Amino acid sequence: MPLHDLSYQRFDGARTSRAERIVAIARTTITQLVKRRAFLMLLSICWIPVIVRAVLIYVSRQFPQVAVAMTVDAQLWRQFLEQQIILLPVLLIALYTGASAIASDFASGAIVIYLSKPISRLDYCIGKALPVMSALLVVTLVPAFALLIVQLSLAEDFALLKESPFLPVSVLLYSLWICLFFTIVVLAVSSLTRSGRVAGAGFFALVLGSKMVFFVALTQLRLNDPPAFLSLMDAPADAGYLFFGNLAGGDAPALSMASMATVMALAILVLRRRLTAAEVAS
Amino acid sequence: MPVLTVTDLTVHYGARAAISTLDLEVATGITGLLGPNGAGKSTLLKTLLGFIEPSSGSARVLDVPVKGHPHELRSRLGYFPERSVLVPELTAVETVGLAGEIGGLSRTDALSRAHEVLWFTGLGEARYRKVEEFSTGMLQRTKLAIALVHDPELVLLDEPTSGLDPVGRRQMLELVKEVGERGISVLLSTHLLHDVEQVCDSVVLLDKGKLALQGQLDALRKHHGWVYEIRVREEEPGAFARALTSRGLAIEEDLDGLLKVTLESTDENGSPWAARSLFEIARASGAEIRHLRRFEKNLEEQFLSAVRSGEGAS
Repeated sequence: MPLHDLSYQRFDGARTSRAERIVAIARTTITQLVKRRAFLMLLSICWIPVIVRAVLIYVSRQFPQVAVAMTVDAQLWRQFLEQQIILLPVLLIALYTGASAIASDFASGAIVIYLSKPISRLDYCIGKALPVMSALLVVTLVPAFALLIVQLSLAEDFALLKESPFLPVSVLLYSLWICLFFTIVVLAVSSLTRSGRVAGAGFFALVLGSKMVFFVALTQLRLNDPPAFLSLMDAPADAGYLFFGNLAGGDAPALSMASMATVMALAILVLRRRLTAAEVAS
Repeated sequence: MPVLTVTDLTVHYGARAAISTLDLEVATGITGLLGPNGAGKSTLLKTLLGFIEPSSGSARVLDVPVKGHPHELRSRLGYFPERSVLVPELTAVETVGLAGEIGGLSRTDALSRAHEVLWFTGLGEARYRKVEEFSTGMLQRTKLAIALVHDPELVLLDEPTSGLDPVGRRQMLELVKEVGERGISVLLSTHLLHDVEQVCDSVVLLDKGKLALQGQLDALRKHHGWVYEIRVREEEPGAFARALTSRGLAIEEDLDGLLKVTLESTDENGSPWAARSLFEIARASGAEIRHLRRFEKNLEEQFLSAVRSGEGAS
């Protein structure tokens, strides 16, 4: 039992800014995530391709005769980030951290705690997006920069940066773009249901299904390959060519960017509608 | 200064008006918001929180217009929702602390306040347990702590005693009373008159989205006349009821033929009503009174009359 008065006490301390309130939402979710062993294990698995790449960079430096098979240039970082999408780490992390982010708040009624306090729907979304975004950056931006550091520390000079001075910026912007895309999409899907599992299945079906549906539809139209911008999985990979200044390499990077922007705009509309409905129903 | 001013407020859910041209002014203190299910109580609370946009009219809470100032408003308001709320995997302290931080308190202050308000609501050592393990009573206490953690000036409570046993109900009402005594205004939405009678200074009765009755509880509790339950045998069916109505008396008749006659303290000439008058009316209309029971027109009767008169008007 505390020794002080247990009756209701008034509070006259200082009030915080909106930014600090958003951080409070994000911090709570991140704290919950890092307490889960499964999440930490998933993160570790998502770093396996990073370790493989680091070993390859090391081998190519130590054994120049192998370097023919592996060219270390700016495109290697694009390929790495593309691989993180195609080989699923990005999808799995988005699924794990984002699928139940809003759905579980709907199911448990926690949404009312947030919306009845002095934060806006946008603040709430940002608070929920930050943990997803952070986790995604841990499997994209962080390992990409780690690889860059490995390369620079093993190289005898800064030839790579002299050759591609915008490489760090490209890595940063591309990582942020794909993380933002998957974060907004998974949160929108999460807001459509009260079950994290259903949201997860929906997100996976949306991303992988878009590829399959369009592939089937377009092969029926006798096209050899479906355009990348029509698939939620291929469009982010294709957009990488734009960020790394290799427009000729991709399928249609500008279209893929536009397609991603459209999907994000639709996802934001969904979020807006669902949170407004949640306020009315709370 | 009134804590709440509502002017010509109308709120629609689709084509249906949940609140219709409501004018209301609520002073500081504890005010009961009464009404049957579907009366518009929860809709009014959500409108005051800025969750629902009114179709027309306006509302000011703590002298702040509801429209366009949601942040300022919500930092000064506490809300106790009717439905269950919990953040999965968090303990009560963590949940209330999070609510405090979102409410505008620093992390240290929020945690300190969380402990204080959870002690106040009576959760004691249970505050370290996960909220999803809580009973209904403990959840209600946690919700009250969430509403109070940022020290609001006005608390909107939506059915705080719902699902509680008699002891829990009494304790919850005592907490509400103490909050009111500490200078926080309370709007207590409930359909239980007993709860309002226990803790409120004033009462607002809503029915079908309209104001049916409003006043200080003390004034409403004063003697307002009698209700007579009468059964008659009559040669001409309905003659007695017609005779009563012609004298301006409010009557109700159930399917079994039992009449309920409300007699105000004085008649139309200002003379005290007496049961004898009813016998005279019965005799004049050729009816014979076979059953007569008198009871005081209490608060419940007044509310029922207000609701019934609303039904009559609609």
